[in-house]
Amino acid sequence: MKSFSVKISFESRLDFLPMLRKIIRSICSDQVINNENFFHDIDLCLNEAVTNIIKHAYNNEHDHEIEIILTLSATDLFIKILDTGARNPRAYKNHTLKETDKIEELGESGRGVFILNELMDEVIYKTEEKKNTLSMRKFFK
Amino acid sequence: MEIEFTKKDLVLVVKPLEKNIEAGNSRDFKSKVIEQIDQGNKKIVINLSKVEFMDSSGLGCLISLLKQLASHQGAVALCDVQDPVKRIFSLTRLNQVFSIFPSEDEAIKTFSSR
Repeated sequence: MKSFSVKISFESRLDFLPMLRKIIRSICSDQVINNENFFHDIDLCLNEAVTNIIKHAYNNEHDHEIEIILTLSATDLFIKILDTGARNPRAYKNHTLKETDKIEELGESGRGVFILNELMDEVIYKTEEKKNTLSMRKFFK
Repeated sequence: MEIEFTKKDLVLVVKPLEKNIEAGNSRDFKSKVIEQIDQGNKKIVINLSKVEFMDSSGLGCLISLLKQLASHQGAVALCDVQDPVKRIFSLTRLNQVFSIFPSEDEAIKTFSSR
């Protein structure tokens, strides 16, 4: 398969996430990928990454731009997500899951980055030239 | 979010009718269930048969309900969990925290025997 890229730009709104997942599924399903678990992992990681940007980089404000560049090759799907919000390098550093037997100590948040790192083969966060970039790669295997 | 609430004896069955529980709608889901808890419903079964997708915000919302009920001597059980949602529970080890049953009847029975 010949490698190709698609760029998608959208407003920083959580209610756009289901539509975004549909668009990305539609792009990928025209290609050789036919694995429901693969799609589900991509859906989930996209949701986690974009939600993090909207909540933390853009502080839940609408009207900001988020750009996604998808690159499909014969071996993998590479997703680059760009925003111009607040830098948050620490947000992607804590990959561990805090486990506890006590219900009152269970955290209600903080699992998104763990999920990204578990399900994707590569996760890199960079900040340069006023843009934050989260790159994620998943091999078809 | 559209939710079906059904009272079966002392148990309230909560059935989200949307396919997704995620960042965009989990707050709404949580606040509607909390209204029911505030009205005195302390034994809750959440039927996830219609839910095909859940992200960490959805999980966070269920944890919040679990904590809220535990602090009021209540309890929550999940049932009819679809495979994609089961995967995220296993991945985050929350399958060891929540009581998960294959069917609604089995989930309700656990409350009847308490």
